[in-house]
Amino acid sequence: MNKILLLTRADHEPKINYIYHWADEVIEFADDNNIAKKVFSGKDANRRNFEDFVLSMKPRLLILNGHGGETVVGGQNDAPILDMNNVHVLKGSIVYAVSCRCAKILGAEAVRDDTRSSFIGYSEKFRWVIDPAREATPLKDRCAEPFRQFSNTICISLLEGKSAKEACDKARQHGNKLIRNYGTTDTEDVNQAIRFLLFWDMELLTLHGNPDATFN
Amino acid sequence: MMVEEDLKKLILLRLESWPPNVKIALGSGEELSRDQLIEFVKQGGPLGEEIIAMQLRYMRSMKTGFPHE
Repeated sequence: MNKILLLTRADHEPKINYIYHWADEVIEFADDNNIAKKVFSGKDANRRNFEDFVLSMKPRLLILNGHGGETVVGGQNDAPILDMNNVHVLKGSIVYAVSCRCAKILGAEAVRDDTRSSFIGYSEKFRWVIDPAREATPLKDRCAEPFRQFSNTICISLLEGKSAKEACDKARQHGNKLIRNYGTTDTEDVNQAIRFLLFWDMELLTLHGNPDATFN
Repeated sequence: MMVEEDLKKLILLRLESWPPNVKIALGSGEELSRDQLIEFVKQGGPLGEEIIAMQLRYMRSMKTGFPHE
């Protein structure tokens, strides 16, 4: 495996566009720290590009942003880029999938019989609060910001060389801090929804495989 | 059974305290309103039960401390 980050992000509908823009910080962090990377955005987030790159470059870390299901992670227009038919290409990798439910079956399969791999994802639907007035500018959506921070803590921690388990633990610790912050500044009723849904996502975060796997 | 009904009422009250215009995005591309969440809890079914179970865990954590602290 090579110390390379592969990041895919779809942008074909407003909700997935949030996650697309959340990845900006991750890409910027990789650039600032001279981490070799390949990003497939929008229509380039497709199965062919994904498989070709993984098989030829063997990236150690993959961050996949797209709609998902129990046995699939999607790319642009929800076309599968990873499913039970090509999950074997992940052998030896660390994966974080910002994708609904994929940790349930696909994540477990990704690390089966492989002591080097780890797969981080969500066992049910990943949820966040949105301000409808900010839907066109996701990074300005204050309601979505704590969810962006929670998810990106995993990405940045992995890029910093923390283990898969440490990355999950750090994200949950940051999530707890955000819940407390949004509890003490309860000037808006929406904070109650933010606290609860953040807790929900933290509970659904799932790590399969080697907890000590690192990007180093 | 009475306890379960009381808990359901408590959870409904908690959800009703959210702003009516709050929107919840799902990674699947869907979105839910506060009133839809309330309706799921009232009707039962998998999502309603999931919301109740998660609210109970959340309320217990508020009392005993959140995990991973």
